[in-house]
Amino acid sequence: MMMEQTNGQPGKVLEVNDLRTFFYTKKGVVKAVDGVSFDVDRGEIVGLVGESGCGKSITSLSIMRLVPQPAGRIVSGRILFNGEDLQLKSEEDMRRLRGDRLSMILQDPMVSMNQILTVGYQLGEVFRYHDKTGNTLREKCIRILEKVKVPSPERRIDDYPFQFSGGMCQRVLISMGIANNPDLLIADEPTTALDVTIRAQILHLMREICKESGTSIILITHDLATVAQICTRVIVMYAGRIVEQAPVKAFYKTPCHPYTVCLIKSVPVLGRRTERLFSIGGTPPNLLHPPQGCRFEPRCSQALEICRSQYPPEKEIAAGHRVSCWLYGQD
Amino acid sequence: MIISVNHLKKHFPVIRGKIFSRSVGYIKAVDDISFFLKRGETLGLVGESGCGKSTTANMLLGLERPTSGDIRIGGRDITRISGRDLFDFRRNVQAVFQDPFRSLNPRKKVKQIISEPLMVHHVGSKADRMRRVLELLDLVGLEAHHAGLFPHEFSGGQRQRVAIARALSINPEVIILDEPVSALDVSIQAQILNLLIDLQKEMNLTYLIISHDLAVVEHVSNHIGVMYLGHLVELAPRDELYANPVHPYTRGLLDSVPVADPENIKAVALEGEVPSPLNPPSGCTFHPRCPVCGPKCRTHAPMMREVSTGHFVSCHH
Repeated sequence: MMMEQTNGQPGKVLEVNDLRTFFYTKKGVVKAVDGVSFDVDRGEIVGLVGESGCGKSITSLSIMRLVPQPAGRIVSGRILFNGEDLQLKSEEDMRRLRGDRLSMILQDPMVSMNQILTVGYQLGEVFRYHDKTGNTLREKCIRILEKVKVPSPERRIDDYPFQFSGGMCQRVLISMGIANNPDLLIADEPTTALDVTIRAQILHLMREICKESGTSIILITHDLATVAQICTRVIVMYAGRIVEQAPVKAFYKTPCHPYTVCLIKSVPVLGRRTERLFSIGGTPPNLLHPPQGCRFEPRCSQALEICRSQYPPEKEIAAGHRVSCWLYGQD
Repeated sequence: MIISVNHLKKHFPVIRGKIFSRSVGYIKAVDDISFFLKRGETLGLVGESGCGKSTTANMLLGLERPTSGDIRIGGRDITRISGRDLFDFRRNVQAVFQDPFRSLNPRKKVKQIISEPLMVHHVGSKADRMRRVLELLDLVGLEAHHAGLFPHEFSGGQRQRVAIARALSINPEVIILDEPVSALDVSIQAQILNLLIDLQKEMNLTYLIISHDLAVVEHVSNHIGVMYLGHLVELAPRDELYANPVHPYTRGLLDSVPVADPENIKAVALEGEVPSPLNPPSGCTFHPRCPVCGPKCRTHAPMMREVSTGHFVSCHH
């Protein structure tokens, strides 16, 4: 592969710098992603966490350059993938990248497959498109289905998606995602639509694949328990911005941002029943008119005077643990 | 005893052929389940997709006729009523469904949605109904000005509040909650569950809550039933079930729940998937996935037995 630019840091698969993706609607500009910066190391599983509408899916679509047009637009920022700026690539180059070095798994396994084409055909597309054909295509598909533990793949390859259960469909989608051993796999809520028992199986599978092929994963979810189970690092988004990022152990041991603390507290824990569940009052702000200062300020119980007027800068409080909150120093 | 369900079965025929159609077998969606529930209590039904939880709920709502068995709600057998009686019965049992994005009519305003059950049952005048709508909005934590808005103007949590208000509008005694929070964010889930608990205390409601999330069920239920392939495999008071799960499937389910603790990484507790209900395994239907399966399990279906007061299990072990 041609290296157009080599200004990325070594060991980093992805570097996102000050990404802003806005939607231009009749009612005004929705700042869905507003100044997001993070990076992903090789072989790392990063959890991107937040409530619906916090911009986590739009961040991932921006990386894939699949933001719905023409309403949505990446306004500014740089996305370096393997040191190459994705913004400068042509649509053709982008298409060649997707499904090959950079791939994505979508949320609802039953909806994201075409119901009237066989599983084998849809899986084969990944190889056909990226010129890795030959008469071994069918074998390749069978081998990849074997890898994601679909039972008797040589028979099931000719079945249609509706003949698969939700868990099996998700395995097929994962197999499409990892078919070409991508450098980065973005999984958008891969287990949300599945049963707990199947969820555990799929997470286990993803962890294994990541270890085996060195693929980095960005796991988008609102489920903190899932994150704790497989991620190495956690990024929390709120109303279009990153409020905290930390290595997974530090994240659960010493969460810093008041929003993160609330989020962790609101997870119902099995066997630790309380009379009332903890819940965060209020709702996330409307991104048409976000608050001027910190976006969590209207719901925050520890808000200071400065929180209302100025957005807090990101501050590193321990190795790799960064938080944007005025409670952690004002310089 | 407000709800009592006895040997309830629902078998769906599998039809082959278009002109000379015949039934080639049955899917036993619900196969011989029994439970009862007192006024003001909550029963949680858990299990994987396809285990018959929703079919049970539909039968309790009178939307599906059981193949056999009976359901008594408030002393009346609802499986044999029809017409006017069925209509009146529906005033007592209301439902809240899983996906608030699909369960509310997008072309109707919130006030129309909430007052619809009142209109259907001819309750009060127009002004009375409007007063009731405002009262209900307040009760579920929404504001009066929300009455004139359409569902798309609300977030998921707010929509679920509207759905709850609609269910409460005609003062039912029983509410069937089919996965009421699984489409919502974690932080919003807690708000809705707290609301449900408060409403239950205030109005002495009886809930049947269906969920695949054991942590959610634990927070709201008094009794918990675990279903697998149409069978009720374990039924126990809440604390008893979590402290002392007996059926291997219940234990597997409990062990599958991920914990928000990176120091405690869990292994896969239950391998495999639920088998096809068209061709269920012989004997105990759980035996192909069971870690403690013995020879008897393959041939003989276990009977329900009581292991301690109120704790029923159907397992040979």
